Amino acid sequence: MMVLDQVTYERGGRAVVRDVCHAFTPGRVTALLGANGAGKSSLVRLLSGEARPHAGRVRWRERCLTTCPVAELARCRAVVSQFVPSPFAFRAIDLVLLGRLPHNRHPDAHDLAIATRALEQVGLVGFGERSIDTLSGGERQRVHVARALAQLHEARRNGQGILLLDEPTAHLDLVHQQRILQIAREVAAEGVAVLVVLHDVNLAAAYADEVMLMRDGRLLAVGAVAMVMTCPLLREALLIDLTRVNPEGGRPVFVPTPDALPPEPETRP
Amino acid sequence: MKSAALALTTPAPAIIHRRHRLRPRGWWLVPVLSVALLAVLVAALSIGAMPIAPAAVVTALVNAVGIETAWAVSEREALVIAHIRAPRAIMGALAGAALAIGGVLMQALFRNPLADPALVGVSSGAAVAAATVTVIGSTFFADLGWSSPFVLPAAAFVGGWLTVLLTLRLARTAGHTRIEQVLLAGIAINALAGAAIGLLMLIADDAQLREVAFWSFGSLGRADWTSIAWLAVALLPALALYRLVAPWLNALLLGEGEAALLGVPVERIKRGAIIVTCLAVGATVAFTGLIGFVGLVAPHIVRLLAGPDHRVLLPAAGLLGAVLLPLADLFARTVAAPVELPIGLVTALLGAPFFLFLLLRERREVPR
Repeated sequence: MMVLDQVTYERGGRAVVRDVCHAFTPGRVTALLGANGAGKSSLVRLLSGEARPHAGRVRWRERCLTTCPVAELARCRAVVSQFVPSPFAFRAIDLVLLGRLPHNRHPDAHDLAIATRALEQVGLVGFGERSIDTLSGGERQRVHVARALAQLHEARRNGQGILLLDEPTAHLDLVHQQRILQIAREVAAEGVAVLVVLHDVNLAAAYADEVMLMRDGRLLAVGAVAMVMTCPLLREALLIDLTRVNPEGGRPVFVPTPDALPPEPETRP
Repeated sequence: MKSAALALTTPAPAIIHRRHRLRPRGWWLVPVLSVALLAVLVAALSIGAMPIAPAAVVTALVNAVGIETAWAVSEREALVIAHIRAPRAIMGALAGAALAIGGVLMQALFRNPLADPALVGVSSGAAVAAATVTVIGSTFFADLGWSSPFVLPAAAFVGGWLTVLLTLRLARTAGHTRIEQVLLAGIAINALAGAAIGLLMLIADDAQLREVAFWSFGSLGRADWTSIAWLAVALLPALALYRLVAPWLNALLLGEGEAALLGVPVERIKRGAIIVTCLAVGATVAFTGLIGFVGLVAPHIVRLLAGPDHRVLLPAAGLLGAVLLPLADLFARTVAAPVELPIGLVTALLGAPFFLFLLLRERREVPR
């Protein structure tokens, strides 16, 4: 279990994450929503161990995350970042096999089976031999998701893993946006804690077990979809008026309120 | 997860079928280049002012290993091979391998296929030290009674190392070696070194000037078995570590952040790669002078044929460098015989246009 304990993180002298407390439970998909600059990516970096909190602690399996050896952490925690450069022309299967690196430095047939299966799972059957620079942005993104799946293969079995997806749907078409979130649910069902950063409130409402709303580095609200995804709270977090278009009960669907101009976006120094 | 379980219990034949895909792309380059290396070495031993038949070369090699054969090699031929051509060819092969491996490591570190070992200042530092010894130091060392041919290489090696340590120190902030800082510090230090050499050349006499110029274009002419032994020792860490670090270098190509997320000890790899490069390239520059383009062209050609996987790239680029440099040397000493061209001139003359050709070809393939 990954726990944020009054975590504060600063960048350029400004707190971009303030006093955040939360525990990520295995088996649940948590959606993280917030406007640009709300601190979502910083929170992901804190959870992945890339960033160290200036105050508070990130605890993982009752230990402080910063004391965990990177190699051990890499076997249980996978991250799909927003942008992964690929200046060299790897094959898709090579990239997915890199997800096996924490487990096995020199991949064997078992690792290849896992990697092939991961590619199948993200809908890229037969793409293994393709060079990454011949793939579209969305296909590349799915290759990186497959890499994360291959990395978490063991953790999915022993229910110890955490998967961090930072805007995984950014480059994807509608079908694959749904597919990636279905995969997130499948992975969670195997006992992995999944955190997804999203901008699409409806995807969050449709697939998340719980929702975190962030604004200005603070955790505005966190809880089950029905509790948190209400028009007033969303307005406060996302700075835009939304109208719920389906009746109460069931998962909500929102559209931007017609004729309501969004409030002037805050300008930051 | 039924299908995953299925995939993991695939029957044996399917796994065997898949095993060939486990071999990294382009793995065949390694055996092919090994054969090419042997062929080039035999050619380098047989071609020259006194032609020696390839059969005689092979016989001499077999004899040298200690196996008695029915064929005889004339004593003169054996002497030419053992004392003139073999040191030169082997020095060329080792230097080529060192430069190419240094190129691969720097390109992985900078995540840029155009990076070169010279970026971190090892060559320019060595050049300054060599020029200093040539211009100022020769009388000084003679006074000390040191006229050993090893003064210049030793000075060059130390000079290269000091420069690299300086570059690394400048690029290190709060326990992290920032790779873009390495680049910037390297550029500044290279410029400084160029200025220093310019100053030294102003006060040098004609003979010293020739010596400095000759050194800065590289030559295998001073090769002997002792320097070969030193260079081989300097190459050992690269050979010993390549299998260990190759998968980590692959991960590093995704960026330092991504590599760290995959459990790669990024900081250790970065410093280790720079140190291994500087050992290999520093020793090469010390014994052969500045030889350009091998570190750039060899990895590039291998990447075109085999892709960026370091499990193939490191050994294959090393072998290709070991093939290319004796070839260039063969060209340098035969094309205008009895005049011998500096080998750095040959690698630049042949390498630069070839490299431009590759760039143009790639640009045509990937319209932007």
